[in-house]
Amino acid sequence: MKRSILFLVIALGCFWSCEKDDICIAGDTPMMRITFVNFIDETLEKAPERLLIVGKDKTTPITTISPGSSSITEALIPLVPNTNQTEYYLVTNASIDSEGNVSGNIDALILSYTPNPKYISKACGYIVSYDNLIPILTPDTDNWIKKITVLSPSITNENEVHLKIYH
Amino acid sequence: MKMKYTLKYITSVIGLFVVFQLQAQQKKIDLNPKDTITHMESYGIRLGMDFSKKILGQLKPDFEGLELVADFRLSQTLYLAAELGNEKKTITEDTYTFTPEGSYFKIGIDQNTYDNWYGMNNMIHLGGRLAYAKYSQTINEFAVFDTDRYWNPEGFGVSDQTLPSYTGLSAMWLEVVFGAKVELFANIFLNASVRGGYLLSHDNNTNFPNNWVPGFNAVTEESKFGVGYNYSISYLIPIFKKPKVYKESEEAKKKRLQTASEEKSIKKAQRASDKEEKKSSKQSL
Repeated sequence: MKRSILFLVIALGCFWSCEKDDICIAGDTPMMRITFVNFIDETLEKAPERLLIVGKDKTTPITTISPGSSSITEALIPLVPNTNQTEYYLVTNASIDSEGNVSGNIDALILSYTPNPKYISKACGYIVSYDNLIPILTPDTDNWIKKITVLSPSITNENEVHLKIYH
Repeated sequence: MKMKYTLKYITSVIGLFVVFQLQAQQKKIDLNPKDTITHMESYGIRLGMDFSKKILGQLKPDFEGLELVADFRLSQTLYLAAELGNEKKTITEDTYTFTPEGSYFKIGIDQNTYDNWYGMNNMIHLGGRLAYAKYSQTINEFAVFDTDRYWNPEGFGVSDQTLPSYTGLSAMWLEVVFGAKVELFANIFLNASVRGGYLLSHDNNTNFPNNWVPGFNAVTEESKFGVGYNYSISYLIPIFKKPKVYKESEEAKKKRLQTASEEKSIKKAQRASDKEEKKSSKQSL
């Protein structure tokens, strides 16, 4: 009797302490895909000169594209998943001085959206997709971005193009 | 003259004793007399409360719970048992916290497998329950899983959105109970039990899975089994008394049957000898 009770206690203790080692592989929050298009001939892709994309209040440019490259016609841009707005600075002819200040033609782009949370699993928790994507270009004296069109207002996967930027 | 009468009296008295002794000798002395005293046992409703949930609620701020337990004695070993409870627990996962909250009811049978000594009223019982819970789940806070770390370099960003809580959820399950009840003082019992649950059905069609059901405890994604426990103190309200039914051991039964058959054969032999005596006496006549 005593031995069986001891066994029961050990077995129960095991039930409590053993927990599955969870790694999330089932899903991920998608990024926004943008393409750069020639403003004059809309069928042609056009890479901006020495492009740099920096988030507002961030000290480093996004790493999904190589910063300062002149051959980028398509880019994946991460959005802030836990709020409903992301602000980016898109810089052409960019150069960074020794103190880290960015100079060039800076255009501010505000992206507003509605995050749509979706439960995946115990390991992943929640991911979001985005609905009602609206880009707002802040006007300044010389915007290099001439026009923005939304191809897909909801971002559920990274394979389709969501935004077209004309310049 | 007087002396003669006395002598006659004495001899007749002796004769009387002789007769009695003969009669007494004929009756076999029973060395294992059957116990004719009946032991009355209390039957009634036992009401109690799970104190482990109260203590846990005091120690951990993320748990609140109350469970009332009751059983009614049906027969020598069978008890009708039920539990009624209410639980609220805040669970923290890696990227989200949620609070399931609700009530449950369990009903079933306990069978006492412990053979008590005289005057004892303890139980080691095995039993089964059918349980039903009605509850809701609220997601308190969640961070968004994102492998890109540009905006949230350390950890995941906690969302500023609030998710709707899922109400009106229900679950049904079966339970196997193994436990013990010990009488501490007259009519006051200390109870402990372990339970294994098997989930029959639960509402899992919402945007959020059932990770925890009140009364059932943790629900895992790929298994229908769960474990629980209960520590309670209960009070027996005696309603009526019934005599205890003693179980006859195998040995005692064997002995009883043997003596019975022996008695039978002795009687048979006696009858046969009586008959023969009668016959011989007739013949001699």
